[in-house]
Amino acid sequence: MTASSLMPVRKIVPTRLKYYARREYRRLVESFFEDVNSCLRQGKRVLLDFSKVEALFPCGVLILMGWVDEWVESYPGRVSANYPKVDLVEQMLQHVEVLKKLGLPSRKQIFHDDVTRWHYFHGNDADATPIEPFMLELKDLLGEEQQLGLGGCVTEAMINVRHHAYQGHKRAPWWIFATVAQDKVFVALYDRGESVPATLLSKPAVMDFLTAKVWSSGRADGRLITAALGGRTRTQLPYRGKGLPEMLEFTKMYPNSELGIFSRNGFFRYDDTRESTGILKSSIKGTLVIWMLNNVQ
Amino acid sequence: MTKVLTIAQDFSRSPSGRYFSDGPNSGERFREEFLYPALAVDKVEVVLDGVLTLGSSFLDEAFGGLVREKRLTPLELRQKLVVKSQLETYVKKIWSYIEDPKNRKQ
Repeated sequence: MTASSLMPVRKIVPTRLKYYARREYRRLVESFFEDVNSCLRQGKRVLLDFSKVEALFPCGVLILMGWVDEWVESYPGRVSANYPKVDLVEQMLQHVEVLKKLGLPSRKQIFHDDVTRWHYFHGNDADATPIEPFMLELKDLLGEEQQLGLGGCVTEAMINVRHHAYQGHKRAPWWIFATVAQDKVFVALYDRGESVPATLLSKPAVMDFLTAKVWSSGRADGRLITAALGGRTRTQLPYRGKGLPEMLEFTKMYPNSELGIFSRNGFFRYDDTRESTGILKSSIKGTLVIWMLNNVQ
Repeated sequence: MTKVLTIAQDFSRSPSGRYFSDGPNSGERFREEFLYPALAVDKVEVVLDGVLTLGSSFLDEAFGGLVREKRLTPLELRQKLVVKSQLETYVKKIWSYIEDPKNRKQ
């Protein structure tokens, strides 16, 4: 064994771990994960250097958590980390157990409002019991009718993950960050199963319809996600569960609200009446849903 | 004699999921272990108030599934089932699942 294979390669975690952002910020995060994966595939050890991280965002943390779980399982003992320098960053990474999974013992009291105001949930099926604390907070703030509507969208999205992203699997792991404040609700849901485009293209009826190579190449993934949001009524394609269409419908009810869906090589975004799609330079493993509702009361 | 089933108390405060494989509080489980056994005996009143989640997959499988699985017809359900909620939307939703023509196609 050579010295280089024993010494870990230091990979600096981006200063702002933000994925739902302008292309240049997203690209920094994508490049970081690409670099780490490349090193691990080459048999190297990796040290995740958190010392430069100044700000964490739910979208970035969810993707980090997904990768950390995979690295720990697929490359045991090959990924280590150092502690962040920013106290708030360390509290958050401790709270979601990223540091523990990377072998770093907990050493902080978690008290910061920017950590405690976030609900963090992880599950392996469509059981909504874990998200009860968030539902109770929503109910207190918004009343029963609004809360049931929002809760219905979230549970349907979890069922989507169970039925489509992990079809035939025993476990269907998902991660949620959620918070509610005044008239704003934020939910980020991430899974690492089959992407929305891949599950749509696996249906024979869809492949019969979409004969052009462009659909399976990834360049049309944003349009495939849009198809999953609209179902038959919009595209004549069989849709991928009720969760995402219900979320979009709900988003449109509240001014200045947003829905972002990133899956495989594409994304769909609804931003206060405007819909857009795009291509990702680097494929996202699974699906990330970002849901931001404003003026909810 | 009418049996009253209050979902939040008798089943779960967070019903969710369609099939047994989706988790412990699925629509299929509610239908097979609570609702249909009660309907097989007598009239049933289902109370929705008090739950924290009430997704369409759960409702469709629990109620629409009674017709799909050929347990009861929509007409029989009109005679035997009462659904109560402060939110009328959910009562209407349940009856739309029960009376969905797709359920009777097979």
